[in-house]
This record gives sequence, structure tokens and C-alpha cells, in this order.
Amino acid sequence: MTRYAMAIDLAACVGCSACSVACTMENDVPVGNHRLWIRNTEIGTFPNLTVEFRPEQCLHCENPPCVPVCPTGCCFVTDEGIVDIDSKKCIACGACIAACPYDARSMHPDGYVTKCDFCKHRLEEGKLPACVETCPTLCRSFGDLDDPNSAVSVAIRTADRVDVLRPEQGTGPNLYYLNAPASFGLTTTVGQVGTEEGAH
Amino acid sequence: MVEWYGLPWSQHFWHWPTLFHFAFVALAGGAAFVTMIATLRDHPRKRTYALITIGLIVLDLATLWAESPARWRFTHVWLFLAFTPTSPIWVGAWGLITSLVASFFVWIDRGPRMLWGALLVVGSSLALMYPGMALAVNTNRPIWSMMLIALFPLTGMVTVIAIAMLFKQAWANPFIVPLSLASAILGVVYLWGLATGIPEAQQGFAYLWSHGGPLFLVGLALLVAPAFLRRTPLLAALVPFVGATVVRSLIVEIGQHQFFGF
Repeated sequence: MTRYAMAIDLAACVGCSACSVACTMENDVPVGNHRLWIRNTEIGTFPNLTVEFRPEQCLHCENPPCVPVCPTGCCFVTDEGIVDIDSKKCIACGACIAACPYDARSMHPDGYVTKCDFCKHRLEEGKLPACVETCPTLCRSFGDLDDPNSAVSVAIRTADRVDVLRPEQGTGPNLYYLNAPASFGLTTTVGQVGTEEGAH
Repeated sequence: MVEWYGLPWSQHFWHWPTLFHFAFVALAGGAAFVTMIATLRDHPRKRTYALITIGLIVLDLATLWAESPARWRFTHVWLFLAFTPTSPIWVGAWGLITSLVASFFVWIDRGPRMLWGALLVVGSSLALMYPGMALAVNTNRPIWSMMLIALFPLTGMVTVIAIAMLFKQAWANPFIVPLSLASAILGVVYLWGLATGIPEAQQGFAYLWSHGGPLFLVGLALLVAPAFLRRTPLLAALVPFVGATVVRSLIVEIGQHQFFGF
């Protein structure tokens, strides 16, 4: 059975934001909403200094906390592992937004919750998600995790290092970060409280 | 330093009407609880209490409707067509609707009284418990700890007992001090749990403290106050009502923050 996943090579990502632009255009994302954003984090102090460009979006978790809290059943996981939303059933209660540890869900102005769906309309046409197709540094890999020859499986297998966000939450993300700045590691995000510099 | 292209949805997703909802649902659940006792004991005022319960539930649902971004989409019918018992909001919706139906039959004084009483046992319990559950399930938001499953029903009962006292229901007087004191103690334990918990809980405590800590302490102090106001029932009712509402509102409002975003 197909189990979609994505991997992002942080060593290759240059933070150009083309993926975010492509996502916005492909999915007609309204102003004020973002399905995909880039977090640019300075890590360390001179001379041990680097910058991590980290694209973030819905991680299509194996154990998504957003799904069981949905009171109408509009949040669900497809057979292919995509965490999806039936907007016709959404009552915009915000329970899934509260439950998401990654702030990946947002409220559409038309009164329903929206987020990345791996461009499922493109997958049905045999295309890649818009962010994957547009990335100029080819840092994104997408495919079937159960297929050892898929692009994502190969990328994860050959990476020096594989991370997921907030593993302590037990969500089992299907979006993997590869080759994070090795000497510093994938930036943790619990930092100083109440400041915009709190990400590290 | 962190910079962004695009932003995660780190802003508040529940706004001021939701704070009113959390106040009204406490009153509605508490009133249903009082109606349940009156119904089971065949109290002469059971119909009055049932009517008040109906009014509070309608008021609460109207508040939710006002808050909803899906106000005119009428998707809310799915609350009752879906079976999602893992969702506290679904549980709360059924608690409120069960209380509403049972209270209606108590009010018109038709049907088996004990059945309506039994339905109110279930309905009022769910309505009282669901707000705390709806917050506590979000383990990613440390301010919304598991303690809220106990703190919210208790503070909810404080508010409804206080309202009963304000309407000179003499039976309510003996309950206000133990309920409000228990709420204050739970509130202190809740803060202690955050302050001495895992690092994220400690961050939650720091954030809660920096964004409303003194007001939270005032709320707890107001919950203790009825012990010293026994001779002035009006104040002994009003003061803990304000205290319970302040504590609940601060937890809902400030607890929406999680430390992953910004």
C-alpha cells in the first residue's frame, strides 16, 4: 500500500522560498494563510555560526493529534497516509488547530480549516506536489515510503542524518529533515519565552 | 535570531466570544446539574431550574454561533451525524443537547421524571467536564495541563452556585465555601505542577506568569475570599464568581500559546 512521505535536505535548502510561493499559487492560499513557510534560524555564535533554512508545513503524522479531536470527523487520514480535511464537514471549531504541535493548520476566511495536503489533486494526476516540483536545489524528495526505490526512500536511506520535528510529541511525522547542520543539529524550538528570538 | 518567509499559524484561534462560551457552558452545565438533583428529588422548583438551564444552554450555543467562522455554513449538523467520542467538543455537544432535551421535558412536566433525571446526570456531567477535557487533550500546549479536567468542573460549579446564591436560593449557601476553597487549592496545585514540571511546563508557567500571573493570583484570592465573607452572602457569591471566571478565562486565553511557533 502507498504511504506518502516527504524529505527535505536541509544541507541543500537555500531558503529561497520558491516552494512557499508555488504552494500559495497552486492551492490558491488566501492572504494571511500559509500552508508552507520557511524558518531561518541563526545557530551558534561566531566563529561557530551557521544558518538553518527549514521549510515547515503539515507533517502528515502517523499518529496525528488533530484527527481524534475533530468533532465532526472532517479530519481524517487517507489510505495513502495523507492527513486530510473534508471542508464541507468542518465547523471551524479550532480543535485541530489547538491540537497541532506544528501550527500547520490555519483558518480559511471562508470558515473552514486548511493546510498542506501534499497537493493531492496533483498526485491524482500523477504529478509531484508543487513544492517538490518547483524546488531549484532539488532538496525535496517525495514518494512512497513503502517502496524502497522511491525518491523519498532513497533520500532517507542515503542521508547522513535524519530528523523529525518534536519527536517527543509521539506524532510520527512523515516529513523528514535530512542532513541538518551536523555540528549543531536540527534546531530545537523551545527557547526563551515570549520573544521572537526564542527558536534557539 | 529567527526570520520567516510566510508564518505558521501561531496566532490565537479562539477569541473573546470563546471566553464567554467557557463562562456560559460552566453555568449551563452547572444549572443542568442543579436541575438533575431537583428532578431526582422532585423539588418544587425543578421546572424553574429546568427553564434556567434551557436559557443558559441556548445562550451558550448562541455565543458559539457568534464566534464561529462557519456561522452561515450550517456544517454544525455534523456534530450530531458523526460518531467521534475521542473529541471533547463532540462529547460536550452531546452533553449540552442531552441536558437541553431532558430539561425541556422537566419544564413541561411530561414523561418519566426519573428518566429525565438520569439523562441530566449524564448530560450535566459531560457539559461540566468537556471544557477542561477540550483543553487538556492538547499536550502540545503546556499551560493546558491535565489538571484542568478537575479544575474546570469545579470552578464551573462555583459559578452556578454563586448565581443561585445571588438569586437567594438558600440551599446553595453551604456549598460556596467548600467549592471555592477546593477550586483555589486546585488552582495552586495546577500552578505548582506547571512550575515544577517538565521544561515545557516550566516555560508554560513562565509564560502564564508574564502574561497574567498577578491577575491569576487575584482570581485565586477571590476564590478563597468566601471563607471570610460568610456574613455577607451577596459578596460571598459575587467574589468567587468573578474569581472562577478570571481563572478560567486566563487559562483559555493565555494557554493558546505554544512555544514551537515563535
